[in-house]
Amino acid sequence: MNLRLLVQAIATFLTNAHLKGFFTGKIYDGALKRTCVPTLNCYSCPGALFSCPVGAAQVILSSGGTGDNAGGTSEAAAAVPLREKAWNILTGTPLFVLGLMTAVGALVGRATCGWLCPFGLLQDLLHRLPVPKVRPPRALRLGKYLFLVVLVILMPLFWVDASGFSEPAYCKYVCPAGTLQGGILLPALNPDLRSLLGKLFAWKLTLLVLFLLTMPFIARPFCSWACPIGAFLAPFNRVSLLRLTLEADRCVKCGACRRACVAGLDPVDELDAPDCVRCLACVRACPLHLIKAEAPFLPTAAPPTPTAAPASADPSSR
Amino acid sequence: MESSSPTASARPAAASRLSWGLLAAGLALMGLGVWLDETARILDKATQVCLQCIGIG
Repeated sequence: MNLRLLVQAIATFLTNAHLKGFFTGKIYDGALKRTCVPTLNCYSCPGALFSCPVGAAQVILSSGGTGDNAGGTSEAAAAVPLREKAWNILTGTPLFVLGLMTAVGALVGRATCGWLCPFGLLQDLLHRLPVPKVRPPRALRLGKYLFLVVLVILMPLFWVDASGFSEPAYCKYVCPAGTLQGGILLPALNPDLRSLLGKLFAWKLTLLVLFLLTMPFIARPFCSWACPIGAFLAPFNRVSLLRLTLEADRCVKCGACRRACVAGLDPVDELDAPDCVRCLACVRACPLHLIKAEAPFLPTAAPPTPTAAPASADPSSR
Repeated sequence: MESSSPTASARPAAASRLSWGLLAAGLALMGLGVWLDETARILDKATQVCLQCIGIG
């Protein structure tokens, strides 16, 4: 049994363990939803026990610090005393979410993407289908940063309607996890919601289907191109307490780690790269055990014995 | 082989300090967020059906 797959499955279950919701069509409304999971998991999934950090961040940003939207008119904004403005900025910043994701990133980088994310699990499973694998242009990976900055941060902050309200733009226009978990399940269980579905739902469903169709061919396309959580955590891979090391001078470039990588990277050249989801498949795949995961909270591996490698170092033997 | 590659060398102390510093900053921000009742506002939103997530709102 693949340990990571087991952990992913358990995490997916635990974050969506409000099983009653799958039968009643009612979402969980208990205290656990005060906090977020460090993964993309729509809080409108009938089973979701926790909040989604992307949705939560947009809610706080669009609230402008009052709990309601404080956008208002420019005249009204000008009349607000400086101290109150500073308070509004402070309470309009998603500090809890920011702190949670920073702490997680500092600890393990993007490991939550590789080990805990339900949408990551879906992508990994579909990528196991026996179809030709494709490596798309790397420039597409920049897309996730654009989504994070524009749709998650700027639009909820500044795209305010006449009545002073803004919306969680990423959830509304992009998030395929929300479509899958909330958008399909809830209307399926609620005839009232079903009758309200229109063009926006059709757009989101199309986006979800496109991603689903891409997943068998491309490694984690959503994580690489469109996930704001991945974009936020990506830089932490370089500085997190959990890190990967490679004994490059002993590497025979057999390609085993590249073939095993679920993110479609070449660990020899891209160790701790922003797109690494810390699945540790490269650690297990390296026949010479040259790639290691190290962290203060992990047991220290025994130093490699000089005689252990040469016998299997010939790449032609694999 | 006697020499070890740069990637296999110990992480510089400065990088480790940065990691611990970020972890501490993250925890502090979380605490500040709780103190400012951010989690209650998250709860308010998350306990209602998110029409935008579904593709209605």
